[in-house]
Amino acid sequence: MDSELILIDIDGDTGIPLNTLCDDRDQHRIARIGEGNEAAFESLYLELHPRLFRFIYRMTRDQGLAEDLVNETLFLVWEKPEGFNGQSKLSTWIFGIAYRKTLKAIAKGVRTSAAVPLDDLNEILTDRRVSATREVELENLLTVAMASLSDEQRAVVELTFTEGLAYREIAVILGCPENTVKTRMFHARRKLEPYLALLKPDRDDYRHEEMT
Amino acid sequence: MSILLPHPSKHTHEDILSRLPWLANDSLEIEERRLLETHLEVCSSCRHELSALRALAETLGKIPVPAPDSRAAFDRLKARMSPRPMMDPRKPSAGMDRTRSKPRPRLAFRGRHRYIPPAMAAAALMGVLIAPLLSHWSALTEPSFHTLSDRVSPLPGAPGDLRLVFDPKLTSPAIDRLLREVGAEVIGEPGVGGIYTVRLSGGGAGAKADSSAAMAYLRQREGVLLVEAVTAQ
Repeated sequence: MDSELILIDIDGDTGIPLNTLCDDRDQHRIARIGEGNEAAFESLYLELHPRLFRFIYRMTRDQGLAEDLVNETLFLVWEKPEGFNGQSKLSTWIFGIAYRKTLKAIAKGVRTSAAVPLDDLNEILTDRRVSATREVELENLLTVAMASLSDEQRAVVELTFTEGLAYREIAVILGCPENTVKTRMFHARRKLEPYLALLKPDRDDYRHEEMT
Repeated sequence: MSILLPHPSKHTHEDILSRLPWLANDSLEIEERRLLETHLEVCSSCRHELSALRALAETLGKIPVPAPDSRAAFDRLKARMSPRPMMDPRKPSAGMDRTRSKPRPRLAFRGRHRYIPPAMAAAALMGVLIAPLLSHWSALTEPSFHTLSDRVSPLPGAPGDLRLVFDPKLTSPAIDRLLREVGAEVIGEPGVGGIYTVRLSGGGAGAKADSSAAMAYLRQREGVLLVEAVTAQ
């Protein structure tokens, strides 16, 4: 292989990377749901419910709202399975629905938690007292730090680090170019920089892992 | 099918940096991952950044999230799952399989429950609501005149009666006199066009034996513009 190029497997018709397309299991599932098979829908529901709930809850910090939005999302899948066009994973399509519904809810002011200005975050970071458990303190600080991000930035961070999704999938969910995903992550990282400084370990984890 | 993309080593440090979060979450494809790792071998700042990102991911994962009861949530949703559009595998769907040559399930409507798509239902409802309005509108806008070819005459009368049109200058007493002369009485007041409908009663000094004779007589009288027998309607 040419050392200046990397090989990517793509779909011959669409040019979309194969790892972001639906597979045979997705096709079979959505076809059965389309035929009105409740067992197929139940299986999909129980599989995706925890992930969708976690994502929406982290976006809204509102348990009741998250539960409602998850059901609204999956109800739409049951009602309109023909909306899935097969150009992404089934879960990616459903996360996209959840993301749009979440943004709408936030826009309507349903969300209870409010974003925290970055200055407040810096003040918290610099004035923090030593608590009994540093780990818990860091988690609390990170919660506040995440609230300082825009909704779009927070979605990218959550989908990346909590859901473990590829940036191509996140681009589909957010309905934006891949570079926009990277840009949002970049700005989110800059906002989280004070917190990242606290997290950065002294040792070189990467080299440590590679050596072991 | 595969394509070749530019090697990340040809990208800037910032380009590599922008991909590190997805190296941290282990979602890169093998080739892309391998190339980023090659860069990391010679870039300490990226290595530190990667370590920080992994720590961030780890701490994010520790932030408590309420544990949802998925089964209970599904039961709540199931109560809402009323009959919905059913799919017919025999018919192609609008959304599926537009881009891949690989066969894939096709979706379309089927009738376990007769489902009317919202657009069709709206159209039907509009029809139900608009049809009476159109009918009423048609009645309102129907012309107040009739042609000679109309099958149903708006004027009263029966076969044997006469239709008469007098000169507008003719006075009412003069008209009454003419009618008495032929033994006729008005059964229909003149409407649009001044058309009288009269019935021969057989009385009167000049009473005629039949409508033909009365018509012949009236046509000779001054001030009578039209005389016509009523035919079967």
